[in-house]
Amino acid sequence: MKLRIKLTIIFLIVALVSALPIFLISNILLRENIKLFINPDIERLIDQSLIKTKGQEESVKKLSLEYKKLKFFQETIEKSIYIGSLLVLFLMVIVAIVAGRLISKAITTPILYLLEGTKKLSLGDVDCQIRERSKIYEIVKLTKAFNNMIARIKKGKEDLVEAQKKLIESEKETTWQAVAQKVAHEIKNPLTPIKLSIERIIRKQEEKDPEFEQILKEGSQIILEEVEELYRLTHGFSEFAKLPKLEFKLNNINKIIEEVIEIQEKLYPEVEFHREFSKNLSLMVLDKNSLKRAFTNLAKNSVESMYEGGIVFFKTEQDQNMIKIEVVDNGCGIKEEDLSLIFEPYYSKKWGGMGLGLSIVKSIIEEHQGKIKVESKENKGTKFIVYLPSQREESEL
Amino acid sequence: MSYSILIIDDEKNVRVTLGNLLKDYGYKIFLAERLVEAEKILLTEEISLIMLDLFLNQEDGLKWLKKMSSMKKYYPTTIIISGNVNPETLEKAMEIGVVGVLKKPFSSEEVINIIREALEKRSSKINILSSS
Repeated sequence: MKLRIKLTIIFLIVALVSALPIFLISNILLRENIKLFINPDIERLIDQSLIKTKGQEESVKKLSLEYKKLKFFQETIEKSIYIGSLLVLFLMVIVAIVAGRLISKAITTPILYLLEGTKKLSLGDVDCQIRERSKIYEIVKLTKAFNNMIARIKKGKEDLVEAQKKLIESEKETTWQAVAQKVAHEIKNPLTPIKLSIERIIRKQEEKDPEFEQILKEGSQIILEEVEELYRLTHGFSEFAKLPKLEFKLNNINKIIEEVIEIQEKLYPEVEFHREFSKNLSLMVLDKNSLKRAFTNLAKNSVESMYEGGIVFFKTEQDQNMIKIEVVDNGCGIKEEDLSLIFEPYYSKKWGGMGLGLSIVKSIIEEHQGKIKVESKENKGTKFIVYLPSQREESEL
Repeated sequence: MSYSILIIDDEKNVRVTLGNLLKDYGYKIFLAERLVEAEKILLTEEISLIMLDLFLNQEDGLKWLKKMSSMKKYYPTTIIISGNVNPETLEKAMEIGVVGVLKKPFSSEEVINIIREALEKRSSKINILSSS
């Protein structure tokens, strides 16, 4: 039961309990008092006096008249007393109800504000403040304490957001440091055979080795291969580094993936591309170019995991407040121990050459506030699951 | 007597060029791309020196060295080849008995010098062992 109704009922009961006995006692007493005046003995005495004086005495006549009047009005007076006290009782009940409502309102209204504030807070609104209107000391204290709590939570949330931002920044920095170190390491690898080949060519020429021509040919071949490797390294690195500033616009994710599939179908006729698009997806705020790149990389990754053709399956669907996109293939799969590493930049040269494709995908998805997961079984295939938030506030972009 | 040297590196061209250089200087060479291959060679051949890239394709060369050193009472002298060796790894490697580090990209001269030095150390060690 609501506190407001409860308090009103309590007031009513208190009013009735205290007013009813007063009502009953006063009624009985008043009636008894009237009976003292309307007495048959008095009437008899007046009648005897009238007979004695033969109706000549004015005062006795007046007394008799007054008494008759009194007798005549006896019932009316009794009724008036009854109605009057009933009115008083009714008034008391009304006063009790009104007072009950007013007092309960004074208590419950701030509590309702607190309730509203708590609801808002539970939904993450830390900007709500409760009006401090009440004049009740305890409630004023409670409201103030609640507002202080919200202010602290707000401060805490802001600090957390700030800390998260710093963490992301430092993570980015650490990633870049790791990438730079790996690039440096990878560049040193091809330099070694180049150096050794050139030194050998010079040495053999000085020694006038009869097989010099063959050695020159072999050495040059190695140098060319390693120069090519160096080019691939630097090209891949610049691709990784040049994720352009994303332009978020309303886009249809199905359309973006369809465009990717159409190109892949032409590039890899030996692979079957299937799609199952949900038709109920609303337009989303996305950067088309980067997502095309991400899904191209995923498609390429799938194709490169196949020996002689295979199937790549794209599926989109709404999953609560996210759009779920699956890219499934029946390629060679990924070893379980490698699964946690495949999104690391320069993880393996066996992955589409540079080991950057999937780390680029991950950073694009993360720029969209999304997530990417991978499931894989060796020799069975791989499933990449991308989650993109279907609704994003403009302020986030 | 010509020394036998085992080169373990996952980069084909590093193995080939390093191998060619050592062959030119009269060493007998064995090449391994992976640690499993290297183990097979070590079982069948008399190897004097190992040249090992610590960061093979997802294989931990240091762990392997530890395993090998605990398995054999006496195992070949080892030289590490690497792009960048951090001091901790180097310390651990030295504890296991690694005698030298070749930092990529290295020159022919550096390779020959470090190998000569390592083999000299090895033969003096063998001398001490055989005389005692």
